[in-house]
Amino acid sequence: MPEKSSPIAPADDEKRKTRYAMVIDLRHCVGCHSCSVACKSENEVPLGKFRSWVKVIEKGRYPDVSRQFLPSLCNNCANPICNRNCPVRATYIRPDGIVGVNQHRCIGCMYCMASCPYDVRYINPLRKIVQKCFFCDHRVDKGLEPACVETCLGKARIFGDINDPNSEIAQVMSTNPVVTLKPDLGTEPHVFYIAADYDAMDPTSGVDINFILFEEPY
Amino acid sequence: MDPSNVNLLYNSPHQIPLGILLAQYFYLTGLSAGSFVVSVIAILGGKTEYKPLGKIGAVVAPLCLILAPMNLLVEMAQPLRAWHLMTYLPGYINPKSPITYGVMLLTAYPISAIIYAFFVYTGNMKMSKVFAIIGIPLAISVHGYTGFIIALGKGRALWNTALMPTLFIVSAMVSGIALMILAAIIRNVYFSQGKTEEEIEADRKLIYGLGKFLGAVIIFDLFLILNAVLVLLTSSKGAWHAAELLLWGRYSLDFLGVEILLGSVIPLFMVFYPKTATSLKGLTIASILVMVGIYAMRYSVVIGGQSVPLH
Amino acid sequence: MKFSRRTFLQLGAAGAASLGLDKILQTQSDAMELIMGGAEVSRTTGKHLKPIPSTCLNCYARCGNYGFNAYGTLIKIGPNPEHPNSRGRMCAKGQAGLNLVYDPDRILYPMKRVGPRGEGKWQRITWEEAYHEVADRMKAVMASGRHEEFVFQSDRDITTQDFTRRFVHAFGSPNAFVNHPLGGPNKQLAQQLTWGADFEIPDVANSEYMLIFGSNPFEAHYLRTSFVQRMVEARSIRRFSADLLRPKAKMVTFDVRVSQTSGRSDEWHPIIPGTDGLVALAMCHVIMEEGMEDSSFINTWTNYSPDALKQHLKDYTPELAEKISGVPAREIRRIAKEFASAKPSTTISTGGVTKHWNGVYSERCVALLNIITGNIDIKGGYCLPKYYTFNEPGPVPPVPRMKSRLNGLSNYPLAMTELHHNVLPMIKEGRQRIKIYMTYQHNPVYSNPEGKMMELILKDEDLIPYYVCIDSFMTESAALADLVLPAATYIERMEVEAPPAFEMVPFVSLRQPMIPPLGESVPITDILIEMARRLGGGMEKYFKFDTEGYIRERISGIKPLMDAGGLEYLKKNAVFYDKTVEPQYEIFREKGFNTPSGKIEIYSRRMEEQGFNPLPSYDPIPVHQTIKDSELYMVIHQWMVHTHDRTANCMWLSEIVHDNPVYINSMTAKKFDLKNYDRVKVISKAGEMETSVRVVEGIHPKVIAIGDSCGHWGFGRIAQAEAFKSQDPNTHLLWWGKEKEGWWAEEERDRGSGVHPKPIIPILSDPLGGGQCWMDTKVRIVKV
Ligand SMILES: Nc1nc2c(c(=O)[nH]1)N[C@H]1C(S)=C(S)[C@@H](COP(=O)(O)OP(=O)(O)OC[C@H]3O[C@@H](n4cnc5c(=O)[nH]c(N)nc54)[C@H](O)[C@@H]3O)O[C@H]1N2
Ligand SMILES: Nc1nc2c(c(=O)[nH]1)N[C@H]1C(S)=C(S)[C@@H](COP(=O)(O)OP(=O)(O)OC[C@H]3O[C@@H](n4cnc5c(=O)[nH]c(N)nc54)[C@H](O)[C@@H]3O)O[C@H]1N2
Ligand code: SF4
Ligand code: SF4
Ligand code: SF4
Ligand code: SF4
Ligand code: SF4
Ligand SMILES: [Mo]
Repeated sequence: MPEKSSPIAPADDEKRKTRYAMVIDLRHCVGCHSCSVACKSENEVPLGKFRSWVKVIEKGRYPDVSRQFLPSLCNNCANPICNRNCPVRATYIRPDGIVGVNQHRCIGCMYCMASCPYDVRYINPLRKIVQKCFFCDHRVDKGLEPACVETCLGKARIFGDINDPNSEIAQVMSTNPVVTLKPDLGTEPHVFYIAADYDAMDPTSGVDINFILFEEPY
Repeated sequence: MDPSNVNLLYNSPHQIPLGILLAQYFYLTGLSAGSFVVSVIAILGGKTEYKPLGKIGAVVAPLCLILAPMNLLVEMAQPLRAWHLMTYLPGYINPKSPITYGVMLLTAYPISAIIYAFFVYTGNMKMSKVFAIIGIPLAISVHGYTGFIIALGKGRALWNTALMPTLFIVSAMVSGIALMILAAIIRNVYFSQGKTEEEIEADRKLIYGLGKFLGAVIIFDLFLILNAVLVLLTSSKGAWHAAELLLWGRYSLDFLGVEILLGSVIPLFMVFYPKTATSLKGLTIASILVMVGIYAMRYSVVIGGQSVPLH
Repeated sequence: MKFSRRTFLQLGAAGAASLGLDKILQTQSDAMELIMGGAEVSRTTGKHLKPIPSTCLNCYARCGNYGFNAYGTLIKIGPNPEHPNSRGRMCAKGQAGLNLVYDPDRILYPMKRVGPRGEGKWQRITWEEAYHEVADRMKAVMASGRHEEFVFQSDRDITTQDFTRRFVHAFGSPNAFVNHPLGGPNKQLAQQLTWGADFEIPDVANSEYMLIFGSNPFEAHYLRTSFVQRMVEARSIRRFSADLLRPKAKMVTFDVRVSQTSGRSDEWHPIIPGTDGLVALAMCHVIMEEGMEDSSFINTWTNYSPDALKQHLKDYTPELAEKISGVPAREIRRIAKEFASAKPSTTISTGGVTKHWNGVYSERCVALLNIITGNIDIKGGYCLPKYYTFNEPGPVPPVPRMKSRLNGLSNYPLAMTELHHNVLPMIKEGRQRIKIYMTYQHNPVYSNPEGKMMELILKDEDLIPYYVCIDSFMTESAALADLVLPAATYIERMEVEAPPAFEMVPFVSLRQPMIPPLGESVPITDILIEMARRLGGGMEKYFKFDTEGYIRERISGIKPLMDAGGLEYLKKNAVFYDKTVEPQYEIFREKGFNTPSGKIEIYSRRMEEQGFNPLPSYDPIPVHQTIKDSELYMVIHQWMVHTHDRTANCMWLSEIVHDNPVYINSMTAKKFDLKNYDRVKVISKAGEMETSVRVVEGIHPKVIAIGDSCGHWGFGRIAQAEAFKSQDPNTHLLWWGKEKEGWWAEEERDRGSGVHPKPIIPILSDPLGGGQCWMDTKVRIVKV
């Protein structure tokens, strides 16, 4: 595993590269699913598949009960196992950190899906290729915020270049505690959470492991 | 926190990308590798009475290997793009992916296996030996690499263990030997015209010997499984859940019932218990059980490994 | 990228669209800052798409949106950052407007029933034939001189209700029924009686303390997206976002269940349904007892003295409240003191308070908390709504002299809107013989209580000789119509709006077509104008305009808008507000309150005159007083991704919520021997329904809750969880349909389209406001 460096580059780095990332501040999230639907609409995500979704749990014992949310999407990891395992280089990493999939090269072997520790990839049942969140690269390339960020009701989602010290995301990340999902796997996720709940982050919490409905891959 | 204090209210569907066909692919490559190894041992072992076994293995091995990738093609979302895998150009393939080296092995191994078979059947012992020596590492790799495919599935606790390639090779040996025993029994029973009583008896001895060999490999396999399970039980939470699924959960019937009890413990008993160990019927049953057991193993590893949710 | 309260007022002069593009060009050159909203690129060509600014209406919050077309198809609806209320955010429902307009089961052509009513056999006819048929029938009613036999009902249509009323009045019938404005009739009456406004605007963005009674803004509020983003902002402790740097406001919620709001509040207090008024009074009691009230405000701006009020509140002790509501007295004391000392603070109360038998009373009690603490219309407090009012273009048809016999107001002398849910039952009772029943955006069979009865009434050709349904979808009610007219959806029509402003600066917002109406659908205004012209008989003189002309006249009284360019300005920008106006607070200081006394009427003479208790008091709900140990209260809640009955065909929304089990507390489940996913029958006085249970912790043990919007049996195939082939390949991918056969059918949890709870809700109205008691159902629950 490569050495883990802090995601935020020093400000005086002259030739700093753009590195896109997202912060999701769960103190602001209202669990509205607006991000999920905006993403579907923006990216023509077919029914049954999600590039972004919001997990909702309830925890505690009556009357001390709360709800916790966890919006999930591709972490556009810096050391993504999906990329390492893709045999035909269909998955690639852009210089700005976005993990892309070449839609013409992908053979649909689904190995990346099996490898991704966050289960964020899916086979598009209409086009029969692997897809996932690409941080709305088509928008970002044209100077627009990703669709889910733009519409986020609570302004919980902050997107930008973490290597630009003046960006909102760099500032928020510098001054707030952030965590990622499954940091122990060394994938170096670049979706950071503020105030994420332990149980919401735990994929097996609150589910009957023996009664999980499976989805056909496509 | 006590998990019963958490109620999941909404989540996106949980996907199982690699399905039964993949398990079947693993199973067939395993059979191929196993029978190749047995065949080579027979040829290289030098004892002439083993030679016929070597011949069977030499055919079964490439045959299974031709069937195996069919499963993959059906499973792939873009089978027509399979050639992307075979450009072998560094810019177009990713040498770090186990599938990439798998594809190379899948090209090299059947070729060498077919050449080997050719020499075995034409009786060219010298060349047989040369290609056996080339083939052995290929065969082991061809199955070992499938173990790597699984092992590099980073998020899946059941898969992500260094034991996986070894476990795959050993289980391949188990199923390969069982297949060989079955083939030898069939040959012994149905294709023995013109052979003397002694020859047939010698042939049977050989089969009984193979049974013992099977037993030994099963013991090793069980030992590896025990290691894997013990570590699962004490590793991460996801690993614990994987163990739960196998030991008392959704796949306990496949794992404990079919793979361990039917597929390992009972055959193990049968190959060592004198009455069954020296009966063709007994060995037939034991071998079939073993083959079913290994199929169950592939299934519970592939499907069970993906049954622990990741989000 | 940052869009703060402050910058919004400086923006806008350049106009939304042009501003967006300027910014894009700038961004591309320095490639630094990404722009937030108002623009869209094509995923295939990478080109910027032309934005059409408009206003959402997938619920009544009416947020600003943009439509983006490619090759004549609407491909995306995005938020409009220049909209002063919604500020560039849109909820899931707004995003899914795309599904609504392209719903394959939309009605696109006029259709006439063939065969018996409700059999489902239709014949497509031309608009010409349709107009002809309706005009013939209406002319006959006109000729008979009994104009009142024409009944028009449209639900919840704040936008066109003036127009539809105009049409019915011009015809000469008093029977125009449009449902209550925001928040329901009980809220409206309570608010009007108290301070002379229809509803309150909690200025949550600036509050220090939000005390929530029976409201769930994170999922459903009548100004939802605009409201919730400000609540969250007030609670922000995110550092380094300059405009968010402020202390975190506290949020305390009383709800019978854990909703997204109560589940994210600092405190959730479970409460026995219908007792919020009492808890609020007990808090007032504590505040007055502790001397924490704002006596000078009470003295100057209310019609009741602090001493008298204190006297009135004497008996409403926290101990009494604890006994009845189950909220511990010490908590009531603490929260009361916190609320009073945290000024500016505000309460937030909606359906959980007002959709009860004591809705008007309770709402007044909650309002009292704000009054005695002097939080009225101050920054961060409980504010008067600020909005523009529109002209009614002349000549205005006179209100028919004859009084409607169907509005039900005779038994509800104070009610301000007709008893919407009672119109059909009153027709059945024979209060008014009718000839033509016409509806627009109204689906009584699905959306009324005891819907089964509505179905029987609509099927009865003696009671309803002719039923014309104007809707965009084949609803459960439209299925029973004689003639169905395809209406354009909110995405295809033009309307003006003036929702209450959160920035306290009134604004106007235009809805304009993003695409031309699909098929032969026509905007309601055009349909009614055409009908009026064909009917003649003097009616036509009230409709001497087209839709645009009507809108032009509507806005003509708003001078700053006319100066800015009127409708042309709106077409370009969709929203307008006067940039020179400062946020308006404490406007009552100039004009007083719009009540008979000009003050806040803690003591309501109007209530006294009609024999009601004139002071804010707790009125126990009769049906609740007889609840047995084996019975439970059932409440209905809105889902975060659905609006009542209209969004079930939006596949992206139904994909997230398509099923509505009843939520039950684990202790209660144990008592009734129920496990998660068990099938149960829920039985009320009005009927029974079957669904499954979800055992949770976050609900009062005496309550079960079930979500609205599910269980359609008409409306469309997506609403019924049916996969089918259509031009949109997605409809074939619908995955939550129930497996009808196979052993695994039983195992298919969370599948299917759920159950419709309204048929088991008895018709019952608040005796004051006349609003339906949606939350007052007493039920039994048995395992099947
Ligand atoms: N997503 C969505 N948003 C909407 C709508 C929609 O359908 N969907 N509709 C719009 C319209 S028209 C309206 S009127 C509003 C409605 O908005 P609300 O009235 O706020 O929503 P409801 O879900 O009807 O009820 C609010 C809460 O009251 C609780 N409750 C029920 N009874 C009691 C009680 O006795 N005491 C207390 N304390 N709580 C109680 C319920 O559990 C529920 O959480 O929403 C608007 N916005
Ligand atoms: N149990 C329970 N019931 C409730 C409530 C509750 O809390 N609990 N809340 C009540 C409240 S507050 C309200 S406001 C009502 C609302 O209840 P409704 O007013 O019945 O619900 P809407 O979803 O507004 O849909 C009305 C109709 O509009 C049609 N429609 C939707 N969009 C368009 C369009 O663009 N064009 C045309 N022509 N037609 C369209 C739909 O087909 C639908 O038939 O529900 C009430 N019902
Ligand atoms: S989240 Fe998964 S798919 Fe996305 S980059 Fe990381 S490993 Fe790859
Ligand atoms: S499915 Fe496509 S992207 Fe994924 S590993 Fe296979 S070729 Fe690569
Ligand atoms: S960044 Fe774009 S693709 Fe990714 S989740 Fe958000 S909307 Fe979807
Ligand atoms: S849009 Fe924002 S607030 Fe809503 S669920 Fe997604 S992250 Fe949370
Ligand atoms: S809250 Fe949602 S549905 Fe309602 S108007 Fe706003 S965006 Fe549209
Ligand atoms: Mo409403």
